[in-house]
Amino acid sequence: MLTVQSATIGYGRTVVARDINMSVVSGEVVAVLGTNGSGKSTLVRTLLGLQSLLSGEVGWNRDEHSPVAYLSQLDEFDRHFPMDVTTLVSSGSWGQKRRGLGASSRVESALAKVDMLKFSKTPIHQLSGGQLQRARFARAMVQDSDFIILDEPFSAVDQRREEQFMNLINSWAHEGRAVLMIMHDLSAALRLCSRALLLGEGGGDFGKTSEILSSERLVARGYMSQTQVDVMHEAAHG
Amino acid sequence: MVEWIIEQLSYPFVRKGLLAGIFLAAAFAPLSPFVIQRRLSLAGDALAHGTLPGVFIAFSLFGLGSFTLAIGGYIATLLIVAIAAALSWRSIIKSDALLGATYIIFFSIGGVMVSSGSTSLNLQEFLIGTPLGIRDEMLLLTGAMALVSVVTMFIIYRPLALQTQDPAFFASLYRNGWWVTQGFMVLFVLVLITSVNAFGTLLSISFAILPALAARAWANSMVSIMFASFIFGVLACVGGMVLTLHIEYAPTGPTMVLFAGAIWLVSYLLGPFGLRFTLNSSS
Repeated sequence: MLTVQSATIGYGRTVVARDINMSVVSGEVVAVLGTNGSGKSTLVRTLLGLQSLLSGEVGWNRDEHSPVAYLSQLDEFDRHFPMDVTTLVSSGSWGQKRRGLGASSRVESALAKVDMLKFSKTPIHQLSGGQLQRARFARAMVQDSDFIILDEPFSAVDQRREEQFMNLINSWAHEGRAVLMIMHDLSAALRLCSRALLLGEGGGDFGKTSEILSSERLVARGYMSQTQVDVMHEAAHG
Repeated sequence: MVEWIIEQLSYPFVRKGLLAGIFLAAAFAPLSPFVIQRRLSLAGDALAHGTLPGVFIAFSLFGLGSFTLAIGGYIATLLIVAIAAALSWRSIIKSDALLGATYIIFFSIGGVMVSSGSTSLNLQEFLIGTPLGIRDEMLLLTGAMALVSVVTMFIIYRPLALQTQDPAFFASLYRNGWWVTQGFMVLFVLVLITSVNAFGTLLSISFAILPALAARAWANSMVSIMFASFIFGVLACVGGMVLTLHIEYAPTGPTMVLFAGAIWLVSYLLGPFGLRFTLNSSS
């Protein structure tokens, strides 16, 4: 559904990462990992069409007129905006031309899936971080897109809820949607994502998650220091 | 009481002053919750102050024409924004300090001009306005502005709400969405300058802030805040007008603003999203 070939990403004249190759097919969950400043956000902004590619190619094999569903980072979100949960979730269909038909039932079923129906009339400033993130997941579902980008979806979510979100993301993949997910948690990436893109040191590695998240590559891409990797190994092997 | 009201309303200047206030309340009501949510209260106040030299030059050249006064104010505002933006480009100084420095210089230039110029108007009239001295064409301009504001906000409401609340999500939906925020800013400045005509440079921001803050204490959706702040704005005009007519020499503009302040205070104390919300969430 998405193919990126020898792409150089950045903004203005600043190159953030070179020679990125990756792809996402429908029914697949792909992780994007990397240190701060490695180009995760720049990649997402480029894919959303907010920044132009410095060189290389991005090919979409989907209807480009229907927007990509996007879960932005929680800390860029105004939590005191006067709005209730239902309105927030409905706003997923605001940008769409084919809104109207079944929009309210889509909102309701999305709220039910994230276990937020009882909060439907609650002002968003009264929600906990986890509840707010659930409502935002519901908004992404209302967008009803075949391609979904999640930007650090598990921040502000406790472990138990993380499990619920993972099931949800898996169910999207089973419905044939493609999911691209920026994340930090290596174990979650290993469990959830078939393939991963590891950004760092001005470039990126793409492939099977278990191969990409090897200790050698994590050290080479500056994601972890050798000492951290050694400690992890000691912990794992007693 | 009723007789007194009918008697007062028989004076054209009372009717016009009230009508101007109602028009301004209507013009600001759809904008004001966004002014608050986008943290534009102080920047807007600064821009309104900085219109002084523009308004004065327009007045000296063309007299009390509403359009020329508004255009003078608009040019001053554009200059302030352009200078502050140019200075903040690759600067180590925070942009709000540059805006603060620029507007206060403009305001002082205006103050010197008004005080040293030999005109029929004194500085006070420029600073706090004269709602009771509003002229017919100014009234028309204010009414037209109210219409423009309501229609524009009706059109850009949804994208503007998304942009304000979740800019990254908004950007994912509207790739060329700059017109939403730019359109809002232009509208805001235009309404603000219209307000300068009635309330002077010092008080023109009042109706963008106080009625909406009062409304926020009661309401929790943008649309209900807009309606409530319109009602509070009208109440403030009527209340301020009644007080002015009762108390001799009370200046109309500041009295209306004080009335709006009182409505805010009461709302803050009694409304569910005012003091009560603060107390509940801290416990």
